[in-house]
Amino acid sequence: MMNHPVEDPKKSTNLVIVPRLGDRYYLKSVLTNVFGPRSIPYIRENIMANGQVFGGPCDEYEQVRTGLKVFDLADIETACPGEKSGSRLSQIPDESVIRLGYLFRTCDALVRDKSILNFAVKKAGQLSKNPTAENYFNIVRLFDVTADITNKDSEVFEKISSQDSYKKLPSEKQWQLLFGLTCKSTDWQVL
Amino acid sequence: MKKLRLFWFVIFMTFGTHAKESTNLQSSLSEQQIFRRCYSQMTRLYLPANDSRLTLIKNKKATAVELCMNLIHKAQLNNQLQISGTGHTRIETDAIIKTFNTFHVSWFQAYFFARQSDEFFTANVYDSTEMSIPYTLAFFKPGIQFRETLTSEKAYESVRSTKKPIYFLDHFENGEYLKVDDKDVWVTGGQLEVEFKPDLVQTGKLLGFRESKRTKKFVEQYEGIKMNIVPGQAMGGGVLGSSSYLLLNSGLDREDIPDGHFYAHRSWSKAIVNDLLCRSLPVLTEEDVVQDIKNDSQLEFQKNVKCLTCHSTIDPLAQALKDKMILPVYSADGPKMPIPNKSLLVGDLRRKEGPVRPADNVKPGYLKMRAFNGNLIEKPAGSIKELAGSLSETDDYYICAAKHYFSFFTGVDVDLNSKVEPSSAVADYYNFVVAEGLKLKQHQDVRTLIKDILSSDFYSSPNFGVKDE
Repeated sequence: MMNHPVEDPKKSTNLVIVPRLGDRYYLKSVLTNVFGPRSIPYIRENIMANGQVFGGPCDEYEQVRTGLKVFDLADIETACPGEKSGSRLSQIPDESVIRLGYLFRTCDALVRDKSILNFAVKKAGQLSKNPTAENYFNIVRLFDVTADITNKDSEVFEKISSQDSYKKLPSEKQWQLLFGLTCKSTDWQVL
Repeated sequence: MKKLRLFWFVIFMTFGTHAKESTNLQSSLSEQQIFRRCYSQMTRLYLPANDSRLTLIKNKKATAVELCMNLIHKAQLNNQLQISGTGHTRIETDAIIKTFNTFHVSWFQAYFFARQSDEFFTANVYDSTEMSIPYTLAFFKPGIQFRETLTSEKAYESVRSTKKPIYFLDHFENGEYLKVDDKDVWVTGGQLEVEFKPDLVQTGKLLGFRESKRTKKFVEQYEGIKMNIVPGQAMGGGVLGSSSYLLLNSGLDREDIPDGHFYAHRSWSKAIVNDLLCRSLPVLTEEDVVQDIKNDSQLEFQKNVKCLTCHSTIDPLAQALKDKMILPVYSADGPKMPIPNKSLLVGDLRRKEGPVRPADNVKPGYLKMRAFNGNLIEKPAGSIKELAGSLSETDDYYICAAKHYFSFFTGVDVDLNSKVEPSSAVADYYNFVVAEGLKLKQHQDVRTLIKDILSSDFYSSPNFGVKDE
């Protein structure tokens, strides 16, 4: 072995801090619990399939090949079909604009699906009635059961609900907006 | 919980922000929030509102840290090293063990054959994740001392749901579907070309672990030296004795025989410094290596003091592996081609008598480096076992483990390569990690380390003490 590059003697810095965000498995668990089993296809398409963005390494030995391009997976979401780099994904994913983009897309798709929205709303109030501040707080606590409800949350709801454009919306659209807003928040993703 | 959106936005927009001021440990999460934090991190599962543990906390029947530790306790492996439990407990247990097993895998920069170099075949014979298992056992099997990750004589492998081994990775090359099965004949590289039908790693859902029982032996010969090849057999020295670790990191081509000069498993040495000590080369100063300069050497790097600041660490370490070489596996059909591209085996060149090899004339291996605190370490490392023993006596090995776990729970990754200003915010984290590492060396219990991290002010702080800028 003759190749012996000189190492860069430059030492790196002392501390690197990244937000302790949940990975794709955590996001899936939260969103599935909030929005119900019908949400799974959306989550698979936008979040689980984008491991590079959301983090969460897979286990390559859960992948069992029984023939050429024939897979038998112990767990379709934690094995790594077709992605060799999947086992290398970080458990502490980086925040990124792309991550936000995929999350926004997921949340929009979930709240636009009436049956999915209905499933979620039942846990926080009634679809036929306009959401109250307490309903909004319920939504926040649905995503994170231990979330502190602060004056800021009251102010957020106050600001939204005082808008004329919001007031004109039918109750379903108001629920849609509040669920969408909370779903897109980073707060519940921080562990 | 305090709203963190703005904070995290600032952090992420500046990628790798360096805390400049003192840490902020004034505010604290509630006990329920601390439990939610550890639960979500360890299981990656949603914590529902009706979880009985939240009630226990609310009624002051238990603390968050007690319940977090109870999660780990419930996930402990049974005496047969299998994952146990039923119902929801089993779901949580599976999740926790999976989280930490993959986390331990991530400590190693090279850890999967198929990803590393398209070595599909090799991944069937050697468990790519073998190095992580000792750490998972130390975490989930009470009574195992952390130093055993280096000193154990045993090799372990995963037990998975597909009991009958299946070649889970196959290869399509040059228009031909290559699969190791009964229809194709494979032979070991070497002078004897022995038919190669090894035992295989298990695949499927992870059920637990076991001591490697694979004993199928292949006798090969290379340059007159007979070798017993037993894929999966322990080489001693815990993690260091992992064949997978050698194969993933050797840097030598197949059939290169280590001679202590041109040919040495230097990349393996470098990987040890990176993976097990959390350091990057060089870990010696120019003053440390002046006496190693050999102006008459045929190797340029032995004449250059800058080169030697790395080579004076990695070359002597590689001597611990002077008796190990890497062999290919060939398809016996058609032209003699190693198939797939780099099918590898570890061959042992040790023998009781016979000609002296060049590597035998080189000074026995030793560990030479500056420790995290700048102290010079010089310890024997003439064999894998001796090197492992020497590493297990360093502080750095335990501090590195503390750094990994602290990073997992907080997202704060402390760099052990350089000293810190005592007054800086960095120092708070650095000192904590170093202190916990030193304590780990004393008590040898990973769970105590985890409990210390979870009980720390950093962990109960909304943003782990990072000052909101």
